[in-house]
Amino acid sequence: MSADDYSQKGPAVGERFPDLRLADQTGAPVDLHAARQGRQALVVFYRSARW
Amino acid sequence: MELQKITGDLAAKGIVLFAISYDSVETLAGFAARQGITYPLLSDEGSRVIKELGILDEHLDSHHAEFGRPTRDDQWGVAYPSVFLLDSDGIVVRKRVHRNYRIRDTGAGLLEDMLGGTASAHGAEAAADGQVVRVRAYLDSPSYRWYQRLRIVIEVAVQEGYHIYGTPIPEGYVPLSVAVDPVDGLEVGEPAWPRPHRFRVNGLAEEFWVHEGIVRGSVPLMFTKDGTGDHRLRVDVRYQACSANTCLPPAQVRFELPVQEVAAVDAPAKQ
Repeated sequence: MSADDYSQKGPAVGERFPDLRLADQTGAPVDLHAARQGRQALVVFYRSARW
Repeated sequence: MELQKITGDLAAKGIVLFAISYDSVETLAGFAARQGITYPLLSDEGSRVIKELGILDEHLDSHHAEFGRPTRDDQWGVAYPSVFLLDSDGIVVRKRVHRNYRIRDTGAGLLEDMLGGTASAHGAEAAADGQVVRVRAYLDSPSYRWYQRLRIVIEVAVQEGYHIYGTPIPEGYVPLSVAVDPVDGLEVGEPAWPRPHRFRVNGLAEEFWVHEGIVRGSVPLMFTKDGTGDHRLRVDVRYQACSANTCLPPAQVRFELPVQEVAAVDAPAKQ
Protein backbone atom coordinates (compact mmCIF):
# COMPACT_ATOMS: atom_id res chain seq x y z
CA MET A 1 0.00 0.00 0.00
CA SER A 2 1.32 3.43 -0.86
CA ALA A 3 2.34 5.71 1.95
CA ASP A 4 -0.57 7.76 3.14
CA ASP A 5 1.07 9.57 5.99
CA TYR A 6 0.99 13.34 5.69
CA SER A 7 2.23 13.72 9.24
CA GLN A 8 3.96 17.04 8.61
CA LYS A 9 0.60 18.73 8.20
CA GLY A 10 -1.38 20.11 11.10
CA PRO A 11 -0.37 20.64 14.74
CA ALA A 12 2.75 18.69 15.68
CA VAL A 13 3.14 16.08 18.40
CA GLY A 14 4.39 17.85 21.53
CA GLU A 15 2.62 21.09 20.63
CA ARG A 16 -0.47 22.34 22.44
CA PHE A 17 -3.46 21.93 20.11
CA PRO A 18 -4.50 25.45 19.06
CA ASP A 19 -7.52 27.09 20.69
CA LEU A 20 -10.61 26.89 18.58
CA ARG A 21 -14.17 27.96 19.01
CA LEU A 22 -16.78 26.63 16.60
CA ALA A 23 -20.51 26.04 16.63
CA ASP A 24 -21.75 22.50 17.19
CA GLN A 25 -24.75 20.79 15.58
CA THR A 26 -27.15 22.70 17.88
CA GLY A 27 -25.59 26.04 16.97
CA ALA A 28 -24.04 26.45 20.42
CA PRO A 29 -20.45 27.77 20.45
CA VAL A 30 -17.89 25.24 21.65
CA ASP A 31 -14.45 26.21 22.93
CA LEU A 32 -12.50 22.99 22.46
CA HIS A 33 -10.09 23.23 25.40
CA ALA A 34 -12.80 24.46 27.78
CA ALA A 35 -15.16 21.70 26.63
CA ARG A 36 -12.48 19.06 27.32
CA GLN A 37 -12.58 19.97 31.01
CA GLY A 38 -9.05 18.70 31.61
CA ARG A 39 -9.72 15.33 29.99
CA GLN A 40 -7.90 13.70 27.11
CA ALA A 41 -9.53 14.32 23.73
CA LEU A 42 -9.69 12.78 20.30
CA VAL A 43 -10.15 15.49 17.65
CA VAL A 44 -11.21 14.03 14.30
CA PHE A 45 -11.38 15.95 11.03
CA TYR A 46 -13.57 14.01 8.60
CA ARG A 47 -14.44 14.91 5.05
CA SER A 48 -18.11 15.88 5.23
CA ALA A 49 -21.47 14.98 6.69
CA ARG A 50 -22.99 15.80 3.31
CA TRP A 51 -20.93 13.68 0.87
CA MET B 1 -20.84 6.91 11.24
CA GLU B 2 -17.81 4.93 12.39
CA LEU B 3 -17.04 7.23 15.32
CA GLN B 4 -20.39 6.55 16.98
CA LYS B 5 -19.37 2.88 17.24
CA ILE B 6 -16.45 3.68 19.51
CA THR B 7 -17.99 6.34 21.77
CA GLY B 8 -18.46 3.70 24.47
CA ASP B 9 -14.84 2.57 24.24
CA LEU B 10 -13.64 6.21 24.42
CA ALA B 11 -15.90 7.10 27.32
CA ALA B 12 -14.57 4.11 29.24
CA LYS B 13 -11.08 5.57 28.84
CA GLY B 14 -12.24 9.07 29.85
CA ILE B 15 -11.55 10.49 26.39
CA VAL B 16 -13.77 13.21 24.94
CA LEU B 17 -14.51 13.10 21.22
CA PHE B 18 -14.86 16.06 18.85
CA ALA B 19 -15.50 15.73 15.13
CA ILE B 20 -14.89 18.70 12.83
CA SER B 21 -15.77 19.33 9.19
CA TYR B 22 -16.45 22.25 6.86
CA ASP B 23 -20.21 21.56 6.89
CA SER B 24 -22.77 24.13 8.02
CA VAL B 25 -24.56 23.82 11.35
CA GLU B 26 -27.73 23.02 9.41
CA THR B 27 -26.10 20.09 7.62
CA LEU B 28 -24.63 18.82 10.89
CA ALA B 29 -27.97 19.10 12.68
CA GLY B 30 -29.67 16.94 10.03
CA PHE B 31 -26.83 14.45 9.97
CA ALA B 32 -26.69 14.13 13.76
CA ALA B 33 -30.44 13.56 13.92
CA ARG B 34 -30.46 10.93 11.13
CA GLN B 35 -27.43 9.05 12.45
CA GLY B 36 -28.12 9.36 16.17
CA ILE B 37 -24.82 11.14 16.84
CA THR B 38 -24.18 11.78 20.53
CA TYR B 39 -20.83 13.61 20.37
CA PRO B 40 -20.11 17.19 19.21
CA LEU B 41 -19.95 17.82 15.47
CA LEU B 42 -18.22 21.17 15.05
CA SER B 43 -18.92 23.37 12.05
CA ASP B 44 -15.91 24.96 10.39
CA GLU B 45 -17.97 26.40 7.55
CA GLY B 46 -15.63 28.40 5.31
CA SER B 47 -12.75 26.18 6.47
CA ARG B 48 -11.11 28.95 8.51
CA VAL B 49 -9.80 26.62 11.22
CA ILE B 50 -8.95 23.91 8.69
CA LYS B 51 -6.79 26.44 6.82
CA GLU B 52 -5.21 27.83 10.01
CA LEU B 53 -4.22 24.35 11.14
CA GLY B 54 -2.68 23.61 7.75
CA ILE B 55 -4.87 20.64 6.87
CA LEU B 56 -6.82 22.08 3.97
CA ASP B 57 -6.75 19.61 1.07
CA GLU B 58 -5.17 21.56 -1.76
CA HIS B 59 -4.65 18.51 -3.99
CA LEU B 60 -8.24 17.70 -4.87
CA ASP B 61 -7.59 17.70 -8.60
CA SER B 62 -4.80 15.15 -8.35
CA HIS B 63 -6.81 12.99 -5.96
CA HIS B 64 -9.69 13.01 -8.39
CA ALA B 65 -7.36 12.13 -11.23
CA GLU B 66 -6.58 9.02 -9.15
CA PHE B 67 -10.27 8.12 -8.80
CA GLY B 68 -11.27 9.22 -12.27
CA ARG B 69 -13.84 11.76 -11.06
CA PRO B 70 -14.11 15.51 -11.57
CA THR B 71 -13.81 17.87 -8.61
CA ARG B 72 -17.11 19.51 -7.68
CA ASP B 73 -17.06 23.13 -6.58
CA ASP B 74 -18.58 22.27 -3.22
CA GLN B 75 -15.68 19.93 -2.42
CA TRP B 76 -13.14 22.74 -2.08
CA GLY B 77 -12.55 23.44 1.59
CA VAL B 78 -12.48 19.81 2.66
CA ALA B 79 -9.78 18.86 5.17
CA TYR B 80 -7.34 15.99 4.94
CA PRO B 81 -8.93 13.31 7.09
CA SER B 82 -6.92 13.59 10.29
CA VAL B 83 -6.99 12.65 13.92
CA PHE B 84 -5.25 14.22 16.90
CA LEU B 85 -5.06 12.67 20.35
CA LEU B 86 -4.64 15.28 23.08
CA ASP B 87 -3.50 14.55 26.62
CA SER B 88 -5.14 16.07 29.69
CA ASP B 89 -3.14 19.29 29.15
CA GLY B 90 -4.30 19.61 25.55
CA ILE B 91 -0.90 18.64 24.11
CA VAL B 92 -0.93 16.58 20.89
CA VAL B 93 0.48 13.17 21.79
CA ARG B 94 -0.45 11.29 18.66
CA LYS B 95 -1.65 12.27 15.21
CA ARG B 96 -2.54 10.80 11.85
CA VAL B 97 -3.18 12.66 8.60
CA HIS B 98 -4.39 10.85 5.47
CA ARG B 99 -3.38 11.90 1.95
CA ASN B 100 -6.87 12.07 0.50
CA TYR B 101 -10.46 12.19 1.69
CA ARG B 102 -11.28 8.74 0.35
CA ILE B 103 -9.08 7.01 2.89
CA ARG B 104 -10.89 6.58 6.12
CA ASP B 105 -10.57 4.51 9.22
CA THR B 106 -13.06 2.22 10.81
CA GLY B 107 -13.87 3.09 14.42
CA ALA B 108 -11.88 0.06 15.47
CA GLY B 109 -8.90 1.02 13.33
CA LEU B 110 -8.88 4.49 14.85
CA LEU B 111 -8.98 3.08 18.34
CA GLU B 112 -6.10 0.75 17.57
CA ASP B 113 -3.95 3.38 15.79
CA MET B 114 -4.45 6.17 18.28
CA LEU B 115 -4.95 4.38 21.57
CA GLY B 116 -3.62 0.89 21.03
CA GLY B 117 -6.97 -0.46 22.11
CA THR B 118 -9.23 -3.01 20.50
CA ALA B 119 -12.78 -2.00 19.77
CA SER B 120 -15.45 -4.12 21.36
CA ALA B 121 -17.12 -4.93 18.02
CA HIS B 122 -15.08 -6.54 15.29
CA GLY B 123 -15.58 -9.11 12.54
CA ALA B 124 -16.23 -12.79 13.11
CA GLU B 125 -13.30 -14.68 14.56
CA ALA B 126 -11.70 -17.60 12.73
CA ALA B 127 -9.55 -20.19 14.44
CA ALA B 128 -7.27 -22.84 13.00
CA ASP B 129 -4.92 -25.25 14.70
CA GLY B 130 -1.58 -26.42 13.41
CA GLN B 131 0.59 -29.08 14.97
CA VAL B 132 2.06 -26.91 17.72
CA VAL B 133 0.32 -23.61 17.06
CA ARG B 134 -3.14 -22.25 17.50
CA VAL B 135 -4.15 -19.33 15.30
CA ARG B 136 -7.02 -16.94 15.93
CA ALA B 137 -7.83 -14.07 13.60
CA TYR B 138 -10.51 -11.50 12.93
CA LEU B 139 -11.05 -8.45 10.80
CA ASP B 140 -11.24 -5.32 12.92
CA SER B 141 -14.54 -4.49 11.23
CA PRO B 142 -17.31 -6.85 10.04
CA SER B 143 -18.09 -4.52 7.14
CA TYR B 144 -16.13 -2.34 4.76
CA ARG B 145 -16.53 0.65 2.50
CA TRP B 146 -14.12 1.25 -0.32
CA TYR B 147 -11.00 3.20 0.68
CA GLN B 148 -11.61 2.34 4.29
CA ARG B 149 -8.55 1.06 6.14
CA LEU B 150 -9.14 -2.36 7.59
CA ARG B 151 -6.90 -4.66 9.51
CA ILE B 152 -6.69 -8.41 10.01
CA VAL B 153 -5.66 -9.03 13.60
CA ILE B 154 -3.87 -12.36 13.98
CA GLU B 155 -2.83 -14.16 17.14
CA VAL B 156 -0.50 -17.14 16.89
CA ALA B 157 -0.13 -19.13 20.12
CA VAL B 158 2.97 -21.33 20.03
CA GLN B 159 3.02 -24.40 22.24
CA GLU B 160 5.45 -24.21 25.13
CA GLY B 161 8.80 -25.71 24.31
CA TYR B 162 8.54 -24.64 20.69
CA HIS B 163 9.40 -21.48 18.82
CA ILE B 164 8.62 -20.26 15.30
CA TYR B 165 10.93 -18.27 13.08
CA GLY B 166 10.81 -14.58 12.39
CA THR B 167 13.14 -12.62 10.14
CA PRO B 168 16.03 -12.35 9.39
CA ILE B 169 16.20 -16.04 8.78
CA PRO B 170 18.93 -18.46 7.67
CA GLU B 171 18.45 -20.12 4.31
CA GLY B 172 16.31 -23.20 4.32
CA TYR B 173 14.00 -22.13 7.11
CA VAL B 174 10.50 -20.75 6.74
CA PRO B 175 9.63 -17.56 8.62
CA LEU B 176 6.24 -16.54 9.93
CA SER B 177 4.26 -15.01 7.07
CA VAL B 178 0.70 -14.18 6.09
CA ALA B 179 -0.82 -14.24 2.64
CA VAL B 180 -4.30 -13.19 1.57
CA ASP B 181 -5.71 -14.73 -1.61
CA PRO B 182 -5.96 -11.96 -4.23
CA VAL B 183 -9.30 -10.25 -4.63
CA ASP B 184 -9.99 -7.74 -7.39
CA GLY B 185 -9.61 -4.27 -5.92
CA LEU B 186 -8.12 -5.43 -2.61
CA GLU B 187 -4.82 -3.83 -1.56
CA VAL B 188 -2.92 -5.78 1.07
CA GLY B 189 -0.18 -4.03 3.02
CA GLU B 190 2.84 -5.34 4.86
CA PRO B 191 2.07 -7.36 7.99
CA ALA B 192 3.33 -5.97 11.28
CA TRP B 193 4.69 -8.48 13.78
CA PRO B 194 6.40 -7.89 17.12
CA ARG B 195 10.17 -7.99 17.11
CA PRO B 196 11.44 -11.57 17.35
CA HIS B 197 14.15 -12.39 19.87
CA ARG B 198 17.53 -13.98 19.41
CA PHE B 199 17.86 -17.68 19.93
CA ARG B 200 21.02 -19.73 19.96
CA VAL B 201 21.03 -23.45 19.41
CA ASN B 202 23.85 -25.43 21.03
CA GLY B 203 26.35 -26.56 18.49
CA LEU B 204 25.12 -24.26 15.71
CA ALA B 205 26.95 -21.12 14.75
CA GLU B 206 23.85 -19.53 13.20
CA GLU B 207 21.75 -17.04 15.09
CA PHE B 208 18.00 -17.42 14.88
CA TRP B 209 15.32 -14.84 15.43
CA VAL B 210 12.27 -16.47 16.91
CA HIS B 211 8.84 -15.92 18.36
CA GLU B 212 7.55 -17.83 21.32
CA GLY B 213 4.34 -17.89 23.29
CA ILE B 214 1.59 -15.61 21.99
CA VAL B 215 2.50 -13.63 18.87
CA ARG B 216 0.09 -10.91 17.90
CA GLY B 217 0.32 -9.25 14.48
CA SER B 218 -1.80 -7.37 11.98
CA VAL B 219 -2.18 -6.99 8.24
CA PRO B 220 -3.53 -3.73 6.79
CA LEU B 221 -6.04 -3.96 3.93
CA MET B 222 -8.03 -1.61 1.79
CA PHE B 223 -10.63 -2.20 -0.91
CA THR B 224 -10.07 0.34 -3.66
CA LYS B 225 -12.97 -0.67 -5.89
CA ASP B 226 -16.61 0.09 -5.33
CA GLY B 227 -19.38 -2.48 -5.68
CA THR B 228 -17.39 -5.68 -5.26
CA GLY B 229 -19.89 -6.97 -2.71
CA ASP B 230 -19.37 -9.26 0.26
CA HIS B 231 -16.25 -11.35 0.50
CA ARG B 232 -14.77 -14.28 2.34
CA LEU B 233 -11.09 -13.45 2.53
CA ARG B 234 -8.90 -16.54 2.38
CA VAL B 235 -5.87 -16.17 4.59
CA ASP B 236 -2.81 -18.42 4.93
CA VAL B 237 -0.42 -18.23 7.84
CA ARG B 238 2.88 -20.02 7.19
CA TYR B 239 5.46 -20.86 9.81
CA GLN B 240 8.07 -23.34 10.90
CA ALA B 241 8.24 -24.58 14.46
CA CYS B 242 11.20 -26.07 16.24
CA SER B 243 11.84 -27.23 19.76
CA ALA B 244 15.29 -27.15 21.35
CA ASN B 245 16.28 -30.29 19.46
CA THR B 246 13.77 -30.97 16.66
CA CYS B 247 12.45 -28.99 13.75
CA LEU B 248 9.03 -29.77 12.38
CA PRO B 249 8.48 -29.33 8.65
CA PRO B 250 7.16 -25.92 7.53
CA ALA B 251 3.41 -25.77 7.94
CA GLN B 252 0.48 -23.51 7.26
CA VAL B 253 -2.98 -22.91 8.55
CA ARG B 254 -5.73 -21.52 6.39
CA PHE B 255 -8.93 -19.77 7.36
CA GLU B 256 -11.62 -17.50 5.99
CA LEU B 257 -12.74 -14.11 7.21
CA PRO B 258 -16.12 -12.78 6.06
CA VAL B 259 -16.59 -9.09 5.35
CA GLN B 260 -19.69 -7.33 4.05
CA GLU B 261 -19.76 -4.34 1.80
CA VAL B 262 -21.61 -1.30 3.07
CA ALA B 263 -22.80 0.81 0.14
CA ALA B 264 -20.81 4.03 0.06
CA VAL B 265 -22.79 7.26 0.09
CA ASP B 266 -20.83 9.27 -2.41
CA ALA B 267 -23.24 11.64 -4.10
CA PRO B 268 -24.35 14.85 -2.39
CA ALA B 269 -27.33 14.17 -0.11
CA LYS B 270 -30.68 14.94 -1.73
CA GLN B 271 -32.23 18.21 -0.50
